[in-house]
Amino acid sequence: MPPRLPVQSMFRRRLILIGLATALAGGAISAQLVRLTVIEGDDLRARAESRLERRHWTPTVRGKILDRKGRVLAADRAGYAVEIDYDALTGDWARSHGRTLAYRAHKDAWGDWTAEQRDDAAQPYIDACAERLAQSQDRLARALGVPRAELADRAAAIVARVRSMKDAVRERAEERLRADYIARGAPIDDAAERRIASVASRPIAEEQAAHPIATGVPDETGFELLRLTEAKSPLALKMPAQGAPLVPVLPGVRVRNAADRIYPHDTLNVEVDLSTLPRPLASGEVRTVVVPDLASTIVGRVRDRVYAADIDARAAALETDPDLAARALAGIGEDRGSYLPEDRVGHTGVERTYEHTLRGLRGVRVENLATGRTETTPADHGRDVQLTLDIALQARVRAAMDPALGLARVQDWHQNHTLAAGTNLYGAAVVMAVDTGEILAMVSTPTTPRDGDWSRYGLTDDAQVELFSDLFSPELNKCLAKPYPPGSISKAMVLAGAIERGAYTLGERIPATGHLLPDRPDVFRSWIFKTYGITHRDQLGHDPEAVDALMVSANVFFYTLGRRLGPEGIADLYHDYGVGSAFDLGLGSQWPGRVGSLAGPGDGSDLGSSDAILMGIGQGPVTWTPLHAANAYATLARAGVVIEPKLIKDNRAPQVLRDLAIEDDTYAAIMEGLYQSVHGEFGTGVSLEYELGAEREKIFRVPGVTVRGKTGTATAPDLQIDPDGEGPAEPITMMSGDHSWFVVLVGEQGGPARYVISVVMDYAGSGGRVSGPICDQIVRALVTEGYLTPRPESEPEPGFEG
Amino acid sequence: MTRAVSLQSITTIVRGTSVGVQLRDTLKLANWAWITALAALGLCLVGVYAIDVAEGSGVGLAATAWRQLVFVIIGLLATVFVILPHYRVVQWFSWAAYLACVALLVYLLVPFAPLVTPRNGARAWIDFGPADFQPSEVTKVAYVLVVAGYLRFRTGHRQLRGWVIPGIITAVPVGLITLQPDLGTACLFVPALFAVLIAAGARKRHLTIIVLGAALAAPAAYPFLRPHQKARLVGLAMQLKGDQSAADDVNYQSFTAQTLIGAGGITGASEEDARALIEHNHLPESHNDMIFAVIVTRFGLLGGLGVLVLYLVWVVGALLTASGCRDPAGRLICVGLAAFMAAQMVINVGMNVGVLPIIGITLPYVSYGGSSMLTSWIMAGLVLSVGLHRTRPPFRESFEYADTDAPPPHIPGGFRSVGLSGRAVTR
Repeated sequence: MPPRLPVQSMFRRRLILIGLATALAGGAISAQLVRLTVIEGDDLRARAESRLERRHWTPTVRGKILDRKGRVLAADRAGYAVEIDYDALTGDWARSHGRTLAYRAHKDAWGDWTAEQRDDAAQPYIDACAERLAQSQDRLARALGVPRAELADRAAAIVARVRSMKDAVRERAEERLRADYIARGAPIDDAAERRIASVASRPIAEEQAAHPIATGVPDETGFELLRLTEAKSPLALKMPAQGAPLVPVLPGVRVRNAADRIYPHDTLNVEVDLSTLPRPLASGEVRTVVVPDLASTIVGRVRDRVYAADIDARAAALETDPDLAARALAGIGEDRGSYLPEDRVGHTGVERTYEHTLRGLRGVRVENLATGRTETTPADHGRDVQLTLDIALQARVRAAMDPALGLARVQDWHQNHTLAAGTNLYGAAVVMAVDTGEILAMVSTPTTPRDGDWSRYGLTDDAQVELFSDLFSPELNKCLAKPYPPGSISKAMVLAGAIERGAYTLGERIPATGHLLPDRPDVFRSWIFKTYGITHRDQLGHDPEAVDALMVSANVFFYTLGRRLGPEGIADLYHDYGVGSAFDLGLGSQWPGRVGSLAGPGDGSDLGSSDAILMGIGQGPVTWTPLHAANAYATLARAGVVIEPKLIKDNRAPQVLRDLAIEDDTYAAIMEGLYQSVHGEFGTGVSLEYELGAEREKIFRVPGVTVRGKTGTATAPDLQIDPDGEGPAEPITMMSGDHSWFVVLVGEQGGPARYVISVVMDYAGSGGRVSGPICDQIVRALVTEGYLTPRPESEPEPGFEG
Repeated sequence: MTRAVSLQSITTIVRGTSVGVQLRDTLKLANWAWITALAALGLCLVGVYAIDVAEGSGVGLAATAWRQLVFVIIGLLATVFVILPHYRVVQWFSWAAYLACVALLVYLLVPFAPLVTPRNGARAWIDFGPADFQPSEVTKVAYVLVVAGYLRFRTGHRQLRGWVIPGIITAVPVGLITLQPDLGTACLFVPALFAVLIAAGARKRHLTIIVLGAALAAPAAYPFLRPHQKARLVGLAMQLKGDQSAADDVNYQSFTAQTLIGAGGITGASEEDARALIEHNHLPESHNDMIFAVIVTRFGLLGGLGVLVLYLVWVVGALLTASGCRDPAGRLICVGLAAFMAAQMVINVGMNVGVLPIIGITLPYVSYGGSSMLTSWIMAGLVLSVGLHRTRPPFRESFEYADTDAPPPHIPGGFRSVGLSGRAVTR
């Protein structure tokens, strides 16, 4: 017997079932209702309320980049661009907007009307909108101060260009779609043709964008037009109408802040007294050298396109910088510095590295559409960034390295055996203050022209530019990013390191045998033995000790120190002087320097004893950059105190990284050796001989200053290009020979070294002959720009001072 | 004599019988149907206010709300018109009404038919000048009367084959309405049929088989859907997965409605805020299909649940009325109307809260619209009519079957069906 049910009637049980089903369905939607109102209520409320707000952004100004003396290297120049929506340019706006207005006016009846009735109702609105467009163009022409016809011509040109693009895009799309059909084996019937035509005719981006009709619009006009773009007035309908609809006074017109980024000191004229040049180049004239792209690799440039990486970087910056986040989020709780599609973004150099400092925060006026209340948060201009560079000094250094002046062009007296006379030479130079590590000048040649005009390098077509770029890497700041073998300029550090490590005792004379290995005159040779077949013992009359060795750049002496230091010691020594460490300059791509082979670990553990010997003279598996060289010599001048070089002037005390604690007698010996190197009887950087037997001319001829320095002629790998990529043709050697180094410590006569100058010229050969005169010009530049005050020659020269 | 005949006729119409009995014997004034009517009235008032919030500026009642108020009054008059005669009298005309509705639905589909202007792509309205008429709305009522009349004495639906005739009665209007296309209204007939059949004693396993079969076959229907219908299904799937990428596209209407519903929170926004939120969020069909979102924006979760409770009261009132009715036709009329009401409410609110696709269906009594209002009040009137008019004796227990199909002890051999849709042997 079936169990007795609580409700006997089946019909009533079924009613309960139906009731329960209804309640269940109601319960399900109630649950969703609870989710939306309770769980997500706050978020959804915020989203709904955000639609009540209309935000009007006000532009900001990107911060300036200044040199150490406050000269403006980069700044915004205020200006506006006036753009017009494409549909307003074509007149389509009148049709579409007129129809929309007609629909709004006849909303209730619209659905019941035939197409003809709708057209009839829309026509007065379309006519009135067309008239509004015409009035807008008149008003715009007056405001911009251009004839109406010219404005119309500009609009017509834009429309013609976009239509031409559209035609091209449509043709390509049709071809592609037809090819797809054919590839799929599908018949191209009428339906397919319609489909192809429909897909291919889709609007292109340019048809949905605003197009600039005037750029560089001054502030006053820009403000007036900005105000007008927000204004609306009743449409002049030629029919009785209740409350004519409000329509923008300037339909489709947008006024965009389009401030130019200008670089006022990018090109400077430098007057060079030609009498200060080496005798073969000298004359009584003063030549004006135009130096373009002065600091472009440092200051960098901006672009007008935002990439996804920029947005990610901005988010990361807000997370890691609470101060930035607090400023950026003030006002509306959203990042006022967030990127909008056509925002300007730092692309290279300081513009990129200090993007979030330079980038300003837009102002915003939030209008509540419901209440009409507005809240305004003013724009915060971007913060200025001041560099330690002196742009005037930079210009003078750059001028000295301009091939047109002659110093950076192969001369007969350079005795360059691999490059023909007259060949332009490129390289890098760094000027750094010893006490602070501040970089005063940092020049790398050649440089990618900011204006894209390669003709200044004599290049006339893209192929030439490509080859030139492959050979000379103009986009690279060689001071930081190009690996160079140190060559003989590292001998001063090797000496200091060897003494500190007990591998050499001051006063010890090391036999100058011409070659290190008695039975192998073909390897580990002295440069004087290799060139002239004599030894430094022959030259000096005795075997060299430390000062002599630096003066004559005695290879065997330093091979010996390298052998004594061994792989580990020599690696440590180079690491002490910064090799293997990138500098915290914030300039992007850098070469940190490297000890050991490229494939090795980079810590020197893969070095052999032969490597250590070679590294004693700055050859073998060791590379660094001109900035490393300058910093190493500054460290020597500070008696071993290593401080971080600075490019940004932030009023912070120099950051001491470590103290190598060079002993006084070591310091004195090194300074004496460097002095003798450029002043001693047998110094390698003392004088130039222009013709055999002719009177020699001193390299450093600036009176009242003390110059110490070291030459380097570093064997460099050949510069080759592969004409067919990975093809069968052999690579072609374009340049070969030695890089020309010269590093100088300079101060007032008798005073401590105050500045270090590091110059390297690629494949230029002799350090003394090529880089020496450039260094001399840079010393003169330091004097001219007031960094050095030469003592009168009558004053006796005091001894060395630490 | 003429006067006597006339009075007798009126008595017959009102009481459903010509036998001279007292009015109190034919009318049952205390009945559950009143709560259905009261719920309907409450919903109407909420609806008029919500339409004003959606459409008005806050200064005086919006023109649309005034018109809705007029529709309410017309609906109330229609209710009076419906409850005065006995529902059996109304049912006499059920087939005629059904066929007339079918004819009108066919007429709507005739190309270039006079007075028919497609609206939003659907041929669903006949333009009578001052007012539009939507035949599919009235068809719901005629359909319920016909199905109730058909099933009241039959038992064939206890067998699967007995579903065929009710299925055909359903398929004809559903097919015609789908062709308009008005998939939303068409969808309502299926739950109504199921509810009526279940109430009439159809086996649950048959219902399960049909529902499962339909669910399995549903994907096969997808290719036959129109592009906008496919897009809405895809949009719903995206929405349910939390994908908001179509929030400004195919899901715009649903997304905006959900945003406003969420904005209402628990207790809702002030009237001023609600008006601003609705206006500036540009909710499409805010006075019509999406009126529920407006109500929740204004009155919050509590207001939304209140509206759902009013519908539940309407449905429960109709079901209690069915329970208290001894006439099988009256029972099924109430059940069918309750099912229509419940289904329409669930679908409309479901699409407002984003769990069902947007298919263009009004919220009865609340959404703006004359046809919908009139039909909804006729439905309430019919429920009231069933509740008010007593069933004439002798009574019998209709739609009472043993779940096990064991023969009831008092009827040897149990119920038998005669023919395709045989009548109950106890008639």
